[in-house]
Amino acid sequence: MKLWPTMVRQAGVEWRISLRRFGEVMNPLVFFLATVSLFPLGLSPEPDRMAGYATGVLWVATLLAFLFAQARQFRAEAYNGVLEQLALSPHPLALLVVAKLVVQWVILTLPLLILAPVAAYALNFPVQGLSTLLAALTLATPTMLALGSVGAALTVHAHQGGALLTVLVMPMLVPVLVFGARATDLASAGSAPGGALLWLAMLAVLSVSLGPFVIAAALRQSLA
Amino acid sequence: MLAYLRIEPKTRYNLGAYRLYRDHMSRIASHTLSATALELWRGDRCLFTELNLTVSTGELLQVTGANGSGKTSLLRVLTGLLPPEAGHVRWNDEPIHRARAAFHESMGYVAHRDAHYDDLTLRQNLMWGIGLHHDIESRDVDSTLEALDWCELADVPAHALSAGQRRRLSLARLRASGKSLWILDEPLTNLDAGARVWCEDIIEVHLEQGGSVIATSHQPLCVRAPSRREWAIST
Amino acid sequence: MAKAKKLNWFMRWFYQMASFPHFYRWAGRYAPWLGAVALLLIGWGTWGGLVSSPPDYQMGDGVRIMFVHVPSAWLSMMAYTLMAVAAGIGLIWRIKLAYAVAASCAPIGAAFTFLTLASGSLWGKPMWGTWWEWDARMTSELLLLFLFLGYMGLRNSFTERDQADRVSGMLAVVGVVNVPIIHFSVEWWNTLHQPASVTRLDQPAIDPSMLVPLLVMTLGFTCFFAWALLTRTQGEILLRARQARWVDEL
Repeated sequence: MKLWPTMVRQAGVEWRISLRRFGEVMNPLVFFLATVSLFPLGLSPEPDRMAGYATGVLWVATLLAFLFAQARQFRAEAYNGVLEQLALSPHPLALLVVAKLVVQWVILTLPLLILAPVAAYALNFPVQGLSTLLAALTLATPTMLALGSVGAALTVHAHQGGALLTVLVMPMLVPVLVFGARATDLASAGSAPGGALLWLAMLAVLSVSLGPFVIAAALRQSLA
Repeated sequence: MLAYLRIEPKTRYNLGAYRLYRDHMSRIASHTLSATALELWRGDRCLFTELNLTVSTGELLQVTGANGSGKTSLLRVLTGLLPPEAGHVRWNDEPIHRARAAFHESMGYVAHRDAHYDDLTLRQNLMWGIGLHHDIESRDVDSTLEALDWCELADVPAHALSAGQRRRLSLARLRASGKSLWILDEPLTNLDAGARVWCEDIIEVHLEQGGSVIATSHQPLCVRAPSRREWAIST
Repeated sequence: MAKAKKLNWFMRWFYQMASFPHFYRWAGRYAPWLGAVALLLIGWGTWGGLVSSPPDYQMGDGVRIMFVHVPSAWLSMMAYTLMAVAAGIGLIWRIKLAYAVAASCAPIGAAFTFLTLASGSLWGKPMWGTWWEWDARMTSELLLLFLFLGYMGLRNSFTERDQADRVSGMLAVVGVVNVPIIHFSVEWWNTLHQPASVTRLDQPAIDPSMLVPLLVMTLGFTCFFAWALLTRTQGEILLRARQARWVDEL
């Protein structure tokens, strides 16, 4: 029994389905832009004030976009029985989950990394902080995805979806928000973001290494 | 091998299945699934307690019982998806939670839900579904499609299939996954008369090869099995 | 059960306690005593805190809120840890009683967390001049409240109790692993945004005349928590075992 081809095939399946449902996949990104554009309308479009809140808005919008994208994660698979078959495969469920999440990460994060500078520009975010913002987003998104997936795995059969997921996962996402926003703030003020980025990297390592096993365990509990 | 001669190709549904099986005809290694002192509750209701059963090579166990009597739950316990309240399920004398990979390599489950990706074509679905359990090449998929006589449907997305066709696809996937023990939840649901015969045939062939089957069914299963038992869940 | 003889006394006690009827009777025997002790200690602590201890030279009578705030904060955290440990025991050893304990812990813990926030906010008004200050501890407590609410929300979204137990148990375990990280990040965030000169609720040097009532109060609250937990767990047991014969015989 070869594991690698199975993972590649699973990733291929996820990729194909995402392309088939391109509109749905793009929804979180539209959501991201829509959330960002609410703040100048609600707070102030003055360039100076926008620069003050740009960091926070970008990070909060990213978190919300991820929660939005993941609210229904695993639901279709649980409903049509695919999840059961994955759990009954001789291969470790955690690694099949990895294949799925890698594709999801690429599909969610790459467009976000393209959109984030646009949103940052619109919010008058200093250009010098842009590279750090992108680095921090790259490091933070695996953690967001992993924690969101844990929540989604636990709420697969729950009666209520999205709002519950937000309540479950939000407190656990606080470290990502704090370190991410801090790194971005430091960089936009022209100083080195070192420490905060390292913390984000540590969280990413933790969630990439442990996350799949926790998600798999959560899925098994949900299936039982 | 003589078993095939008994079947009249004209009256039976599909000859392709047997072509496939002649190619694959090999004895399945002997095996035993045994459950001891199983107990399961759903909410306040005790579905079963002190339940013992054994299924081994060549045996068909048909589980009967009224709706809601816990047939599906029992099957899910036997697959290892649902942990029982008490008792053990053993695969070749090894508790299944300890030998999960070995057990799941030899056990195939066709559930009430068909487990197809609606957006993928039949070929892609089979490639995925068989490949989850079994090293696979695309010609395995071709022979499965051929056995179903569905070569022209290969590139149709699964959502275009009817409920009965989806069920047949699941069963075909199971058959191609090379499992020793089949656990089937209402395999005949939604199948038309011809497909029902086809399903009974593949079960029969599987049993003759030395496989074993546990199935729930409201309809009688017309299967000639080396050893066959019926077991009713009482409420 | 033939194995039972080989178990050492601890494991024997552990498995005995895991039985619903045994725990129910055990809780019924000890809970009233705990309740009485809690009442006594809280009474003593209240008298000590409100009457016999002097007002703080800096905070005046406001300091007396500490006698409620500190014990509730301690219990809110203990309740979460206990809940997660119980849920973990339930997941690993598949002991239903552990799930019953975890499920009973959550609302009590949430109540203490809320009490911590409310007393902190009452204290904040005269001290900081605001009902709510984004102080590290207060923010951590707020997040803890969300963790409790998430756990209870997840439980409520299942109709089947067994599934609710298992899934919410997973959440509690994942949550408790995350708590130190959350706490650390909030502390870190706070040091960036807050001048360190803000008066903290618990002074490093505390006078014995205040320390004694504080300790008594903490002990009393803990006994109260234990009483409430045992009583709630009894209720959970009855819910889970309402069809068992021993319940009919009660």
